[in-house]
Amino acid sequence: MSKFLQILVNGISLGSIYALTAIGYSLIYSILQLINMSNAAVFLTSAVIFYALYSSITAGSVALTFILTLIAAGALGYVIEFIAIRPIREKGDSNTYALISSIGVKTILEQLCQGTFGSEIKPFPTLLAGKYINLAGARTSAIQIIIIVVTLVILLGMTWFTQHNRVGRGLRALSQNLNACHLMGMPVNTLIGLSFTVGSMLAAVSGVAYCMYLSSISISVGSAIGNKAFAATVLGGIGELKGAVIGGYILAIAENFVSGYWSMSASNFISFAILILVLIIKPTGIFGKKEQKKV
Amino acid sequence: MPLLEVKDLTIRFGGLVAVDNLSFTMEKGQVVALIGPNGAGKTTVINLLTGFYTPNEGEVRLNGENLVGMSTDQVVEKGLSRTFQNIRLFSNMSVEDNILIGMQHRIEYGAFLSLFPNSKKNHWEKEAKAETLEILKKVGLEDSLSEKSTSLPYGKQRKLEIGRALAAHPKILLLDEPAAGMNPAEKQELSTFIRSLLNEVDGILLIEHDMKVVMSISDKIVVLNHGAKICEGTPAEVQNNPEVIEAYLGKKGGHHDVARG
Repeated sequence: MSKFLQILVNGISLGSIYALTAIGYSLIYSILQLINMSNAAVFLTSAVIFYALYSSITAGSVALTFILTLIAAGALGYVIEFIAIRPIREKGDSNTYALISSIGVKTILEQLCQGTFGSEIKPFPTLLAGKYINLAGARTSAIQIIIIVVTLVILLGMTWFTQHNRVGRGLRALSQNLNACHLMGMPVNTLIGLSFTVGSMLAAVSGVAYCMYLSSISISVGSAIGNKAFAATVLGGIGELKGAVIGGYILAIAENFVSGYWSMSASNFISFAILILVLIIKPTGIFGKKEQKKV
Repeated sequence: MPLLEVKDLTIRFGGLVAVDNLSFTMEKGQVVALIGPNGAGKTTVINLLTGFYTPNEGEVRLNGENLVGMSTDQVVEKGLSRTFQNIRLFSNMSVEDNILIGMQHRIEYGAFLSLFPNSKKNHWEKEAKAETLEILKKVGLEDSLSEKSTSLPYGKQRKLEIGRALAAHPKILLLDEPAAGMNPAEKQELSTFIRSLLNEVDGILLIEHDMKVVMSISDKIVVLNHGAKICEGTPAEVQNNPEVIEAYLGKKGGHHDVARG
């Protein structure tokens, strides 16, 4: 029983990390029908920024470093959209070009990170290191609890944001009828830029949280988690925010059970096995609605 | 100075001249209708006025200020707001949210301030909700505030769309075929309703196929055919204009032009 609980707790904390990044994929997809591959690189870049700030300017203050990292990630998201996506969008070119452009951004960011950070694994600051709580036999580290709680707060915040905030309201309108928003004269470009900001900030929380969870950072974290978060998005139904969250948790819990009861290496391909199965059986994911193409 | 002055407006798509040297004016307090057979370029004119297309030549002056070259959101800010031929409401959003979306560009606090409770935002949001209710009263939807927009009957969806356009505080309202798909009773009611909107805006530009609606509410009618203006005048003048009759019904004397409409 305690093993079961242990695995569940580990799954939920990892799922929180997937979910936050997955929301970024889903949000942008819901508006532009674009799979923004640069999201995974923002995850990594944010962790690297956190590391760099913490080991220099803001040494010692996790809170301050975290806030600065969030601001940097938000700005980075907006800039990515402005430079790499907007020009393609405004020319009216196919989304395939924007997808390739986002892969380009991903590669550039990853290379920049590798160039400045190096390729070795380094220790990452964490919170309340070595503190554990016993939850009915499940050894839960303080950082796991922090991650789960912070994620819940963010998810509640996102619900408020999309329902009651002016930007969130605008993004919802954009995701329902981008063309009408454009014709109505809504500030579409700014709103789309802000959707990248939101997605990037979530990826930043996720990236920093993951490295804190591992207490270490290496440049491979971005693609490892980024790809799985993307699988989670597809599993939940791409374009649906709640789908991204549920998908993230299901995937992470499934992975942990596979590695706990079967083998560690199997857990690494289970996400993608699930991804392929979903694409074959129900390509719209758990929550996705079938899109009716208007002719 | 006219409220709206369209001067020598021209746009070409490849070799096709979709709007050809179009000029007309609208005075304050007028309903001006833009009519013409299918494919005459009416919706293209609206897309030109709202900045969605940039004309190859010509000017669109609102109270003397040229709007050509402005983006769609700048044009809305200047005071032109539109509805659509095929209703484009935000289907998963409530009636209230649809109106609030129409106010988007008027919001006076930035994205950053929107994240925290603060007096500027609270004040604005309170006003916005109050105004939303007011607009909904004007279009007769105050009882449907929290309903999903697509659950409304068709006629009310049209009115919601008009309400959404009013939320932008336009000087001129552009209505693209508001009577489409309505039954005669609804059309009758719509005509009175559109006329009453002159209390809210300075002028209304109407695109409409239903001649009964057009003739009953327009102060001035501009007739387009193949992108060019063929006639302009009061309903009575337009009805008796031979060119208009030809454009709609084809040439007298057995030409094959009938099919061109």
